[in-house]
Amino acid sequence: MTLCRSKYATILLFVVTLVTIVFVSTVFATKHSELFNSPSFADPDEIMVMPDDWKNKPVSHSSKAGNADIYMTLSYQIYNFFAPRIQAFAREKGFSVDIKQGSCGTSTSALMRKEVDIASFCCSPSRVDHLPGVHFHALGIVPVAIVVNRDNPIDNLSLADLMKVFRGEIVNWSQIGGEDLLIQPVARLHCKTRPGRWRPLDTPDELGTNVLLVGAISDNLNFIARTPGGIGYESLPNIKNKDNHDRIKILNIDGLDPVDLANLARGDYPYYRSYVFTTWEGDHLENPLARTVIDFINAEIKSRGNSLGIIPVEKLKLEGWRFHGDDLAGEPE
Amino acid sequence: MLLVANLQEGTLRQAFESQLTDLMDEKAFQHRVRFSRSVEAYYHAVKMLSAQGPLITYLEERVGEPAPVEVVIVKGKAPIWFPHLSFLRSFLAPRYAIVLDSGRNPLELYQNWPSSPPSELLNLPMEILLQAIGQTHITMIGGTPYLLAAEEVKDGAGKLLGFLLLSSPLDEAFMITSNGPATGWNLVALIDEESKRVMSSNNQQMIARGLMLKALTEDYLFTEPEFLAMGGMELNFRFASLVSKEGIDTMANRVMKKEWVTQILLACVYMGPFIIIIFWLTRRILRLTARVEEFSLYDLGYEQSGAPGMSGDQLDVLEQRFQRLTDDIKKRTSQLESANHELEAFAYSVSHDLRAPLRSIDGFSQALDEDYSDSLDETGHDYLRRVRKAAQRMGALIDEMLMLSRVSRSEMKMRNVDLSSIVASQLQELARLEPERQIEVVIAKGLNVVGDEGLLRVAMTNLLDNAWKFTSKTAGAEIEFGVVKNAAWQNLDHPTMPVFFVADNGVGFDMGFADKLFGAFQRLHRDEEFPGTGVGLATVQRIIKRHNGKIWAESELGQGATFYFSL
Repeated sequence: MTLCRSKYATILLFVVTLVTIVFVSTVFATKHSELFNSPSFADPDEIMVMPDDWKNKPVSHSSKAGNADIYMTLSYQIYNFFAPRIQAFAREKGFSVDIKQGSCGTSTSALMRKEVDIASFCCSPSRVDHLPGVHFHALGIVPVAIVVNRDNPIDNLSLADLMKVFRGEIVNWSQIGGEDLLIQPVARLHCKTRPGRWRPLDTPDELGTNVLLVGAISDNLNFIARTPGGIGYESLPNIKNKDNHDRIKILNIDGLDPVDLANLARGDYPYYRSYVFTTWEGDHLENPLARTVIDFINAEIKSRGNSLGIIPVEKLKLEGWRFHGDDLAGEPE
Repeated sequence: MLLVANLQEGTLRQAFESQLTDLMDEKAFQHRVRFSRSVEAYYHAVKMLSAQGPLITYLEERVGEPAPVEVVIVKGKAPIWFPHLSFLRSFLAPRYAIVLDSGRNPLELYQNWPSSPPSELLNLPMEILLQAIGQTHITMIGGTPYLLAAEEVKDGAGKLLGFLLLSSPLDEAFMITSNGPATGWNLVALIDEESKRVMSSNNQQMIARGLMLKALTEDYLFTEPEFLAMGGMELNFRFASLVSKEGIDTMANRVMKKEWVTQILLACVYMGPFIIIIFWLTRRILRLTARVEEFSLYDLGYEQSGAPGMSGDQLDVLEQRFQRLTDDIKKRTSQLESANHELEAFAYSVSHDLRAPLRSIDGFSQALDEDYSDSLDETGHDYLRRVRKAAQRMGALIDEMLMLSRVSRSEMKMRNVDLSSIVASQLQELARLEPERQIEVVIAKGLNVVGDEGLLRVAMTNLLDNAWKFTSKTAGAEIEFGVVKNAAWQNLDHPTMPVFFVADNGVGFDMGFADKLFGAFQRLHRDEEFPGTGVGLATVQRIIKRHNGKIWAESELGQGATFYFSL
């Protein structure tokens, strides 16, 4: 009887140990945190020190905005989809919106000048963006896919190898199981000073000298489409919207497919971009209609997120992503 | 031809433009990469230059000093805190380099350009300077887009000493530096996204600042301007690569011209044989027309060339003349046939009507000779015999003429006819009439033709009667009927028709008279030698012709004769 108990205990111990090993290895393997040296988000508590005259300055719309009730910036990556919907929503609610299309730099400048009610970012705000009175609303994230030429036989890369590729430490596809072909990485560094996992490496300075820098989404994808050894990265919705998406191929990272949004929602897939909006808080700053617009965009992402390839913030909260107020502050632990 | 040429030109132009679009896409990609690199270089340059020893020393020496009232402007030779010109020339040539103290007050400005910067550049708001640190930043200063790249300058302990700011307006000079001088094929422009106007280009004369994007489409082709997102861009602009339409047209025309020359050469190669054939055909037509005219004039007796109602080209005229000719020939043929029928009817009628008086002459001559034999002397009897003989000969001639007439007028009933049997039965009949004759007969068996049996029987009877007659004085006479098997003997007019023959070894005839052989009442032998009317072979020829056949003969005096006929 004792022998029997001892036998069961041994088996149980073995099973528990095995499950633990698998669980731990899975967690460590998928979170990849050990491969990144910098945090994915700026410290939300570190607010820029700005002079008093700036602090006291009210929000005043740019002269280009006319007499619109709301003046806002909207990332060019989502402008075409959201701008007409926001306009329609505003008309329905009886107020007017003027929307300026632009990059994160456009939004930062507009915030710095205090000339917009809402600013839009396609990645996590940097230290410089954390201005006094600015309230951040993360509304969703999208996977950033690693793409190669369609004819490349490689379907999967480990995160470690991928980082070596972009550092210029691996220069031939044959080094990672592919053909004897020079690797030609391409990168689009649109938000150079902003943190996040929207680029393959921690900082732009780590990029190898063989990396071709381009400024436009189409240049990024076209280069890969016509270069057999090409490799780059781009937001999943941007890839789907381009004409040449049939000439490029999306790679799995450590076996994780970015097209399956669940991989990113769980925090397993390493690369993503966040859509963050800002409103103002405080006297002479806050525009009550701004919050209405944010709520509308949030509702749109919630209802249409899946088709847009955006994971809504509610889903992120359910999956254990960390928040600081309304802004994202960390991946699931 | 013109339509084909137009279609071809359209297709060529389409192919040219498609190729051009691909080239422009590639060119535009290269332009954007070069522009991005030029912008990016400022970030790397400021990062490197801000760590220079001379700059750090310069700022360390000014720590604690009050902010200067006026910025020191250095022109020409580079200041001690900045690399000299040869370095800048081969690396990066910022229009302006500004050193600021830790309180962001500008200390010195080095201008690598004749004109001074706008005062806003020297008094940048903190929020703009902040955005230029760690990245390039593009903002509007004094109505001109400016590229800014700044970096903090720190001492060895990490203490902030000041800032270094590099800046250049994104003007024509910058665009030329980044993308090369403007040509018809190398034009770039920055387009303001909001106003849709040109912010800058690498040729202000060709593409002036402020020009509407829409206006550009009149003179230039360009790929869809791309939105560039590089670091911190406050401005919202698109980068456009353009090609002058004039340049494209010139090139297209050059290509088209070459293509046209090739097409013309090819057309000559293709058309040459056709032209020769047409020339040859035209000559033939003209000759034929002339022949028709000659025939009309000399054979029919009227002139065609002056005939009314002739119009159109050579073929039309020829067709009209042929039509007129055939109409005329038909009319004349009809008239001839009618006259011929009348003549035949007349001949038949005359022949038929002559027979009754001839019979009376013969009958009464015989009665006179028999009933009044005692009243006549021998001379009278002789005269009466001659009268009777002449009357009988005339009767035979009339019978032959009637036969000839019947042969021409009778309706033909076509069927399969066994010639061999006809020949055999006729020779048997001849042998029965003259049983004393010893003749060797050879008849090829089973020779059949399609024809009128009655007429063919008449023809064969005539031929065999002749053979029988002309061998009457030949010892060891032979008559043969057969078909020619040697191809060389085939009838040339109708090579598929069989050629039959009737041969004998009789007296034959002189081939010099062969052309008279088939004429009516033509005889090659005296009546005393071989009696006959001279109508038989004429009858045979008419029967053969009515069967679309041909008859001819070969002979030699004393060596017999062979009559060939095709059916």
